[in-house]
Amino acid sequence: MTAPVLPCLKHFTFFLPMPLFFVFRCFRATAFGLLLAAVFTTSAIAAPPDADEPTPLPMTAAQPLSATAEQIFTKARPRLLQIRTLLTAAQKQSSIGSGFLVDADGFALTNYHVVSQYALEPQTYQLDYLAPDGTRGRLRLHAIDIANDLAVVRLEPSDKGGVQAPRDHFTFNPVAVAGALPKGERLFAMGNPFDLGFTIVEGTYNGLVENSYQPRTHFTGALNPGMSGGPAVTADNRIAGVNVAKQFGGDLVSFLVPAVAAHALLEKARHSEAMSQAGVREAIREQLDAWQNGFFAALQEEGFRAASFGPYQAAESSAPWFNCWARTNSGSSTKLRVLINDASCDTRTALFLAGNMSSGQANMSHTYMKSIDLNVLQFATLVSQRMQPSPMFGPRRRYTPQQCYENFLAPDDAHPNRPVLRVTWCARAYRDFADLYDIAVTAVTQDSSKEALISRLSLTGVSYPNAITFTERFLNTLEVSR
Amino acid sequence: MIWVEILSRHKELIGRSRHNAENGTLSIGRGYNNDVIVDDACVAPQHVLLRRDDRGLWTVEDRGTQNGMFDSRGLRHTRLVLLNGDTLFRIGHTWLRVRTTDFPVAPERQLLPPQRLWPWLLLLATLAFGISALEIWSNQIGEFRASLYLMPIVSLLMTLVIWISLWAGLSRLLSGAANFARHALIALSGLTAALLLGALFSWGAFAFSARPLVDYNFAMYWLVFGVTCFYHLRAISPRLLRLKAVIIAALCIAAITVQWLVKDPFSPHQGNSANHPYLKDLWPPAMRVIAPQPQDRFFRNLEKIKTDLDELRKKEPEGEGMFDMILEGDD
Repeated sequence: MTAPVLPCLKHFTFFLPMPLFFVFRCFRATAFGLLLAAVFTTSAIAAPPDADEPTPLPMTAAQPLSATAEQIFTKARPRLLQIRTLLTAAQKQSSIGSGFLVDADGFALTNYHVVSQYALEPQTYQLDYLAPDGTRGRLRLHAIDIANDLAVVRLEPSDKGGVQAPRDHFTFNPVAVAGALPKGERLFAMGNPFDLGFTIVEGTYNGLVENSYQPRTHFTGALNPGMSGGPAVTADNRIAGVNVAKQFGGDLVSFLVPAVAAHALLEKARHSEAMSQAGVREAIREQLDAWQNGFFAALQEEGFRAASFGPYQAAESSAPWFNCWARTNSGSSTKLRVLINDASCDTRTALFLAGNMSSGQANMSHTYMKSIDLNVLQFATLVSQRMQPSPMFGPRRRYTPQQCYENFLAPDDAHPNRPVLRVTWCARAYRDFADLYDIAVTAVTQDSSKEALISRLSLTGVSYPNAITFTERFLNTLEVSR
Repeated sequence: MIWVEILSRHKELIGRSRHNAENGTLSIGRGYNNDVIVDDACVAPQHVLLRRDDRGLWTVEDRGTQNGMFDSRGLRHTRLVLLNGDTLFRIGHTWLRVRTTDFPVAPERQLLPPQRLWPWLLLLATLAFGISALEIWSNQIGEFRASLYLMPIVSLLMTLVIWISLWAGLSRLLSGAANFARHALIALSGLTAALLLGALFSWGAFAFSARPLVDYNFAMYWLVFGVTCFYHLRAISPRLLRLKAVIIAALCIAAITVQWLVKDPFSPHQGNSANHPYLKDLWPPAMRVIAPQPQDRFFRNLEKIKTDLDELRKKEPEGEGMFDMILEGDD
């Protein structure tokens, strides 16, 4: 049977009352999970108990249940870190995550989302580590990889004069780096969930997530907030991936960053200097820009397929990494006054930039409406309600206010079958990252008073030329045939 | 023959009496042995004596009372010459004046024929409530429910009745007549104008793709409101029309300016319109007037948005709004 996964807030208030900051920290640690949850909305699957299932183990032998896990954890323990973002002024933690040593000189890997507050606001936050033996110290940021949600940090030497003893550290599993682990391989994920102490979790490697633009390893095991950035190792105690997210509403459906990305970033960071705030912002900007260029080139390459809505044709991306859903109101009432069919496609993943800022999402949706007994004025009211562009939320210090342009767009010689459209284009710029924008386009067909197609496109973290090109492509595919 | 007129402390006439002035003196006071009796606790039983002097002017003399006698400037006198029928003097709280039979009065005002306002009133009421009902009807996209019509119409009716009653009350107080029908006519005209113009502006914004028509339609509403108030004031009294017009115009301009500043016109990206920087109400496609834009022009306009955004990026963000703080939460 499936049981609902309690969100961390509820879970904790159940056991003991938590001060507010803990709730916040809790929320932060789950931010990435929340992001994913918004995209993956798979229904719970209740499977009947399998008749062929073997009967429970007889309770005879008093042997250790998992000697492997015990050995792995004992060996791995000194290489694990808890990574804490502290509010400098208050000296209190504002978020926690995990990390692990990967180099004798004190380089460690973690998730970008674990260090994002410090990376973007080093004046406000400081980045500390806490080792299982109780030693603490500062961390310096050496490299980030936004697309894969990775960061390389380095432990500050504890005393300046003495030569630092080489640190015990993990190595990468070459089979995992080559992406050749077989499905079903046993993996062990480690980290410090909810600040409860370092733990080890046994699970299964299930290959790469299908239909995801960004490669993610599907790990069947219990990852929890706070374990982000911790290692997932094979039985020989070598790195196979980095804990990154879990599926809300799922059971044991968790995700790892593939080892190959972590390995590549470490090699790049090994000889680098610590990053400055400006360096971080420039790196994010460059990576986002490169990412969106790659993403839109790939989208164009995958092409579009036509989708029909009454007399209208619109485009849907043929790219496999879009998750599409359809909905209709036809069964909702016996006295239906208007027929509404929705089809919506979005990319499964988003790139985490900050707790209140994510990027790299694309969404295309079409709403077809046909009046049954609404008059033209009532139908226009309904279209007005349905065509409102989705609001762009976010703090003003991260984004400029949105700017919109709206007008009627004529069919032209190249697209004579396109009806007159009422197009609303809204865009806003990222304050921290030049040349990146969020855009939202809404097009409403204007060829009939009792029938309409509302097509929407929204892109986040996109360059203006890509946004314009893609919008043009999107609008050019809208056609009507009567 | 003279008339002695008694006025209240607010100088409203409360009584007058005719006296034969042959013997030359009249006594005024609270006592019943006077020629003119003044019912005022602050007036002495024998207060003043009115006497005609050698020149034929009337003088008034204090008869040695405790409270005395005052002129219209508030100065105390024991003897006062009444120059004409408008000269006032006060004893206690009561004002008095003396007028001879040849005192000149203004010619009669023209008697206006009674106006038949009710047919107009009925027509305007039908129009105003008809437009409101039509507006509600065009917004009904769910199943029919009478309450959806009744509630707004009843509240509109109640607001209207209260508004008209306030003006009628003011009218009764200041000019003596309530003129309810006239005030109702003015209020209904204003309401009808506002409803018609509101719909016209909303349609114009769609038909001509001119969003400022709805972004700044509050200026139109304030003007209609100002003109309505002016006509209400004119109905109370037709005096000082220019002054009333100037005061109302000044108030209207102030209201429009304040609302304009709240909208922050100097950076239309901030302020209230930031949450809806696009047209919210579309009309049926057949009601479009402006020609649709060719593709290249449309996309050139999108490039302008980029320039605006890049300008905005350079500016420091304004203070965090409440909306942002809620959404921002952590971080």
